[in-house]
Amino acid sequence: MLLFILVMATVILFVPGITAAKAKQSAWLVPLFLPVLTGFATLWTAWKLGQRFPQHTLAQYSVVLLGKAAGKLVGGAYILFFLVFNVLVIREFSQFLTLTVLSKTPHYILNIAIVLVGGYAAAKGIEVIARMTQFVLPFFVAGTLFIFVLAIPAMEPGKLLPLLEGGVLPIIRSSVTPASWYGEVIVLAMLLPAVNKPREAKSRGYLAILAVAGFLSVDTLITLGIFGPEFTGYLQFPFWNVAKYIEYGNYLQRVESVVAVLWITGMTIKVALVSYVLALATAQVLGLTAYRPALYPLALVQILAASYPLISMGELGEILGQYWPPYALIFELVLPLLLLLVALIRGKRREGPP
Amino acid sequence: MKRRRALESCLSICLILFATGCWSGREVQDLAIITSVGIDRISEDGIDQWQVSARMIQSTITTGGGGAPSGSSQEVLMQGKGITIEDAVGDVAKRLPRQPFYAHASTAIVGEKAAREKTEDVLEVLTRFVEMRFRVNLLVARGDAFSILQTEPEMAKTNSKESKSMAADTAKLAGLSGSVNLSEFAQWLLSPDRDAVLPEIKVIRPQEKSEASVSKTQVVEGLGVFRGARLVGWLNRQETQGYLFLTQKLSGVEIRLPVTKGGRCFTYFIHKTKSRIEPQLTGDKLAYLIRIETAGAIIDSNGLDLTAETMPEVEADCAGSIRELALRTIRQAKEYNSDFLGCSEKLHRSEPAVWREIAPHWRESFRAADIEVEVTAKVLNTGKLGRKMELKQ
Amino acid sequence: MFNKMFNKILTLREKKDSSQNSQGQPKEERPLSSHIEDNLLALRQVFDLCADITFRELRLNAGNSPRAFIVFSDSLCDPTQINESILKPIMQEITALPAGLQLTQANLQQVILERLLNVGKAQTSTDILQLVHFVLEGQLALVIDGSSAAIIAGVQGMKQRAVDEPTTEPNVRGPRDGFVENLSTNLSLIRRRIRSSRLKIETAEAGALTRTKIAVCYIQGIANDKIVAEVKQRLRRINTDSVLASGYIEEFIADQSFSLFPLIQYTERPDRTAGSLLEGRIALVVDNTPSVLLVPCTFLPLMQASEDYSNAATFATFIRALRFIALNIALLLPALTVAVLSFHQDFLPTQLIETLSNTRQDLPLPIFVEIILMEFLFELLQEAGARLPQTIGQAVSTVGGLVIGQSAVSAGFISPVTVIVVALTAIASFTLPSYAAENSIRILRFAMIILAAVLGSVGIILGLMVILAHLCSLRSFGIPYLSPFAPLSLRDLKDSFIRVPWPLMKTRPRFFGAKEPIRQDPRQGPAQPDKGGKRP
Repeated sequence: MLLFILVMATVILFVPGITAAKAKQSAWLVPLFLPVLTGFATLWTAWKLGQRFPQHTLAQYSVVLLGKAAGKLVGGAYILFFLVFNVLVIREFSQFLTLTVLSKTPHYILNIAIVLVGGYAAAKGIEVIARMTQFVLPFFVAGTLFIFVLAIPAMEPGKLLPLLEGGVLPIIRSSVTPASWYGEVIVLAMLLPAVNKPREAKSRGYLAILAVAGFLSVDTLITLGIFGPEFTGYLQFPFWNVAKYIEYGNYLQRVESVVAVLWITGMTIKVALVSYVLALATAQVLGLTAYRPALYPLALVQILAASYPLISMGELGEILGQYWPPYALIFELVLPLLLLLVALIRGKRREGPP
Repeated sequence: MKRRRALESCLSICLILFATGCWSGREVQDLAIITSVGIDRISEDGIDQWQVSARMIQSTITTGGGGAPSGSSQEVLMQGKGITIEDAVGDVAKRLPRQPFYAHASTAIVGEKAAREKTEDVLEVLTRFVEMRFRVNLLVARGDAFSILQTEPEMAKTNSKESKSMAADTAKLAGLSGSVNLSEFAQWLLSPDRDAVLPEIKVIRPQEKSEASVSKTQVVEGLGVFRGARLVGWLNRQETQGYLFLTQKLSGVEIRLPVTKGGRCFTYFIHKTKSRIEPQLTGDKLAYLIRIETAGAIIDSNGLDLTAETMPEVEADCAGSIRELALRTIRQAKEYNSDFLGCSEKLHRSEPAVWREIAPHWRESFRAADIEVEVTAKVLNTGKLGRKMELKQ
Repeated sequence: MFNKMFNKILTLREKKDSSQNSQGQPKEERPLSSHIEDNLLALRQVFDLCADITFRELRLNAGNSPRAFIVFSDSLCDPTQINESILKPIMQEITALPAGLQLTQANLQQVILERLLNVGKAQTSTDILQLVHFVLEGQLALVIDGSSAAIIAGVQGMKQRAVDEPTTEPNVRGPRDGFVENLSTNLSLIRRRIRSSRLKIETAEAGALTRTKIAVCYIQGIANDKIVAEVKQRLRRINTDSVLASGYIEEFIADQSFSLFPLIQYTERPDRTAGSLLEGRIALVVDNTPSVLLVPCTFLPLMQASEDYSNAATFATFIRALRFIALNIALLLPALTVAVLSFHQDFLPTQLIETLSNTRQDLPLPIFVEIILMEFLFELLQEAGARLPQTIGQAVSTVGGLVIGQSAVSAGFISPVTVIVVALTAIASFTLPSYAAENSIRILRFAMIILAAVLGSVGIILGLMVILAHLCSLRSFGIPYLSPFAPLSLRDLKDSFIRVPWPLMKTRPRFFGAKEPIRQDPRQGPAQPDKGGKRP
């Protein structure tokens, strides 16, 4: 469930536009195939490693596997990864809001606000974040479905034809970005020791990925059905515009506020979770006993980095769409797989606490 | 310790927020709520300029005798000029004591000259502008948009309300015009296989008014035809009806169609219509068959016998009239070299392989294609009477 | 009935460390002497300048007519009972003892205790301080010469308020009795509802000076033992000089004293208390307070009224839905108004925004200030109404609500929208069944308005997320505050937003740690008529 919100929060707004730009009217197929496989692979790797080290996190068992120096290096790299990841999430948050509801508010204010709220939840610990998710999830799903159902009458299924016009290649090419987002489930590698029913975590994780894929596919389908393949590709936030497009008479209209609510709640939880994981990894790499002290300096770094004023929306889109995914995939899939390989070769496992 | 920290962070949030103030906030009474926009291309002193005119709500407060204030709204018209559209928008804003607010604009009217020369600029600014909704009804003016916005409403309270309801509903329901919003228009202009139309709005002088109190009003009737991003021509009322029959799936409409049968005229009230385009390939030759199905009523039979036996004949005559209208529209489309009927789009969707071949010269293929129309018209309802009334001589 | 009940009371002896005796009286023992003079002197010393304490010396009609005295507080005792049940037996009936029973110095006390006293509750005490304590509780002490033990007889007859309908939690259909200030009356109201020996009532005392009695009630086998032990442990830790109302106890034993949400529920309704006991919760009845504390407390009971269980299930579900909507209105409506009117004018239909814009022309204050002012005014009115006598209170609300609102609007000082919003908010907050929850909402409402004024709807949502994080982190006696929503327990949702009919209330809420999960057999109710299916 946590994973569902984690992945869903960003993608629901961005993906239709990014995939439609390349895959046109077949974009709704994109989230269903390759990205799901990446997500599964990431989850499987994290799970396998977690089985070998049931009480270690990623940052801890990389030290066990690779030795002190290399392990700390990997841990440090992950700290950097989570940091950049969180900064991007925060930036997306403020960027979206300044473009939609709060056009004149400076970014740094929104950045500070979300980091404070996310940090507050992160300081309360993973249990609180998990419970918040549990509480928010029904509303999140219901809100999304609400928009879906209202939007369906405005769809024109004809706009989805012809299927697979450009062949399979554009679909594969546009899969990279969503794949890197599905790969975000790697945070599980940091959380597994805290999960009280690890056995369920695996199946729940797969389920979450499938659910994300399903929702995303429907999301893209509806967006395409309303805005057509060409126009969708130009839109910054297609789902937001879908919600804006919904109108029934004089009363049921302007429901985009629902999307804003979903987006902000989702992003808050995402920031909380990643902040937590980041602080945890930092504490473990640096050998601190508690993660909370790490939270405060990191929050400051995140606010400053996310408020770096010279990034425009276009550049952010570029970063998210092109530069970030390959890097992200390295950390999400390649590195964990390597770790697993090392673990298999050296036959290491450790049941006890670190 | 933990508690203190939480308290501190709460305090710091509040302090930061208060220290910096509220940025995007603006009071609702400080907004000039714009309800409809007109965009024109004008030439002033030999320089091509944009002219933006906007109708906005003028809120007035009147304190009545009872003490409780009651507001009423009227609209004012403002106009601005500039080198770019945004420049013109700024020119409008400079005379306003309030901030212009476009999120409630319900219609956007593009002047004829602007549509003929610079549709792409208008589309860009409208779609990019955050406050503008994709649902906004897009209209093309015969003449300039400014004069449309100058007219006085007849029934509705304000000019914008009148143009909005005509553009969104009534014109389409009466078979006078279509209804196109920003998103649909953008999609048409972006798509590789279809041309766009926009409903036409024009100024008329109502005949009921006496010469002395003459005032102008607006009406939505007919369509403007685009080829690519250029307005290339107009469809009159009959051709517009043909367009509606050929492309739309409508129900609950009331399209009145005069039909002549054996020297007698009667009206076919069409309540429902739908159409299907079928691309047909015989060898290398591309042809389309468009099937139209309508259902409706006949109320003014004009002495026509409406029994079960004669009905097929009557229906055939209705179908014939519809077909004639449709063929006229198709002729007009070919003449304008603009495939606003969606034939090529249908071909693209159902026969991608064929489409790939003709894609580079799709308008020519459309022009060259034979388009046949098959109409099935049903009369489901003949009003309160069955047989015709036999009146004594 | 009272006797039965008190027989079950186990006295929780306070085991206080010597370090805790820094304040209050010393705790060492002072045994009674066998000389009546010494005892009389000692007691007169203790009760020096206590006008309500009465000493009466007398001689018993037995043997060598030994001297004796009784001591009691005439403000706490019932004089007829003293005359009838104490004095009459020991002075008159003592002469009519059955033949063969010889009264001697040795058995005098035992005979009086066993054969003569007409009171339900009697015991002996050998300690002066204990005796003083009993007297101050309203019991009567009989000290006989030659004996170093005093007879303590319960003859309490305090003036008390009649059992009345609870004013804070009135209802339409359910029972109308409410708790009063008297502990034993309150306990009787509970015991009347649960006539089982498994209902345990343990007493404790708190407050070095006030020595307030606290009864810990729970149902053995249903309540979680750990929580019961925890409650007792926390009660024992209280070290204060005074406990005048249950609110004192509440703050001493709550998990967090600074939480904005009540971590302990209170109620004036015995039916509600009994219902909570049956769910596995624990009730703390504090003497001299009509509000009984219920622990552990989660968010959900604060949204439920005991009436819900008297009404039809479908209707109760509807009312609960209404209440959750009211909760949201009470918390968010003013904030949303500020957000929409000063940030998101595009979230409303054109017509509405037009009307709103018209009503707000030429007003001196921005909407944020208006709302804050009016909410503040409303808070003032509410407080004024609550503190004034009922008749004047009504005048206050009329003057405040009608006159001020009306004239402020017509003077063009505030907009009608603000008045509507504030009034709606007020009505919504009155529908909340729990006064404590309402109070937390009142504070949060202001926070939300400020957030909305700063960041619009984003501020509201972020504020809600902080509240959610806070709620998620709260625990009441180890129970997560948001159960059964988070952590989710699907089975327990049957009595949350919805209320299923009683036959379907098969199990007790799991989150209170109920040991006996099954409440009843679900297959009861009348046989269903044939539904038209196939006959066997």
